[in-house]
Amino acid sequence: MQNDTTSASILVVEDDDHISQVLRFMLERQGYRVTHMADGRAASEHIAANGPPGLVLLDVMLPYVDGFEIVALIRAQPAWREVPVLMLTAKNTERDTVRALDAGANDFVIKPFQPQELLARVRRFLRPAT
Amino acid sequence: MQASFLTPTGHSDIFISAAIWTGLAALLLTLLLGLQIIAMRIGLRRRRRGEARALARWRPVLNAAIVGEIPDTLPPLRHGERLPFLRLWAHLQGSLRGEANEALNEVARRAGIDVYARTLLARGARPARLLAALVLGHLHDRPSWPLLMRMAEVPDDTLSLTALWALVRVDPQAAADYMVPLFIQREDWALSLAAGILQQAGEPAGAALARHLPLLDATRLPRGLRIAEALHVTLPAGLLASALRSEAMPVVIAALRGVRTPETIADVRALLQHEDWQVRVQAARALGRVGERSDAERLVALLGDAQWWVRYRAAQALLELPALSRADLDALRASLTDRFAADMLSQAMAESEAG
Repeated sequence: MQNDTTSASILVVEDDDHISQVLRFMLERQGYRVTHMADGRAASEHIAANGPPGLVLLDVMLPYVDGFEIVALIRAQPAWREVPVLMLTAKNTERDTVRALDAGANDFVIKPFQPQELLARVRRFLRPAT
Repeated sequence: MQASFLTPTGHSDIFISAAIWTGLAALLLTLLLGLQIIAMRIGLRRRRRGEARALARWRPVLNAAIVGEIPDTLPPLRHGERLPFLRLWAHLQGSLRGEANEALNEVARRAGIDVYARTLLARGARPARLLAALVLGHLHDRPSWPLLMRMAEVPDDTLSLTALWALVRVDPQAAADYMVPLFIQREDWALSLAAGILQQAGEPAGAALARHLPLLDATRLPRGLRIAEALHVTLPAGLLASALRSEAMPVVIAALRGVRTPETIADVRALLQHEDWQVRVQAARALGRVGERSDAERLVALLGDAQWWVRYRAAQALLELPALSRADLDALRASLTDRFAADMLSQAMAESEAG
């Protein structure tokens, strides 16, 4: 699934400030527009009040509302139902990976992650804006 | 009559004076405490502002390095920036892997962080030494080996384990040889900690375990076998067989947990009838991992065991046996005349379906 350049926006939901800054830097450098939410509650409110991005990059462990619930919220919103969701799961938790995919995520990246691998997985769903 | 401390008037003067002086002292202490709090808050804000400036200066450099664009020249790392830089750098190292780690290492070495970290390790306060050990481990810094070895031997478990984590990243082979006997001996350290650190050593840890295990007596061998199990190390069949035939029950149980290949299946089968139910439990589990279709009969016999846990694990092991299809299991369940055995198999099958 590849969207056109007008949809090259990414919602990043990550509570770690340092990692969210790295993700924003990496993605904006590729030409994506990044919206960042630092916890599950803010993400839930954003999903309820806004239109869908081109892709959601979502951590599992979040304050207030975890990543699995966020995926369920996304899939429950008609406008967001088809948005690709890429989840960041912790290493050595096969259960989390399976659960992420069962919850409706399209793909996952295991933390600690390789930046180039993450970008490649994003490109699977989105073409960078030029 | 002159007033004295024995008279009612003199008596109350002393108490009033004492109360006034006590009040003044309390007021002075309160003011001093208030001033100290204010000073600490000012200092904290100053440090946070400095930290924010340092991060604002170095975050773009580190982010660029992470995506493969290390600047040709780096800004000088100022004295007050070193600790914030180290904290950010260590955090990023722990969150990323692959080429990004090596890029961050190059930035750190060019900024002289390796030298600074060694200094912190040798002379810093406890939090600084912990951070320095993490940094030097990420850097695979060979010159810090003697300092890290010294830190690994201190009584403080947090310092010691952090140093061990760093040592294994500096030299996995040498670290594994040193750590394996240490982790076996230190039963107060959780197995998960030992496994988490030794896992980074990779194959050298397995080789070190295979060398050390035959030398252990029955009191130490169970822990050594449990560490091997946690690391998913395939032990030599001879070593495992010897442990399975031990007189010591903890050794047998630990060895059964480590059975991953069929070389010792004969010993495993023999232990299904052991007098101790804990051994029968582990034997059933091991047979589930390495057994053949023909072992179904042996596991079915255990479904009638007096111990609930033995029946439960035997039922689970039946589900794990290769070449036993769902239809085979249904037929097996229907053929059981023991109601408890049939119920246990039904429970295991239901749990498996529920995932």
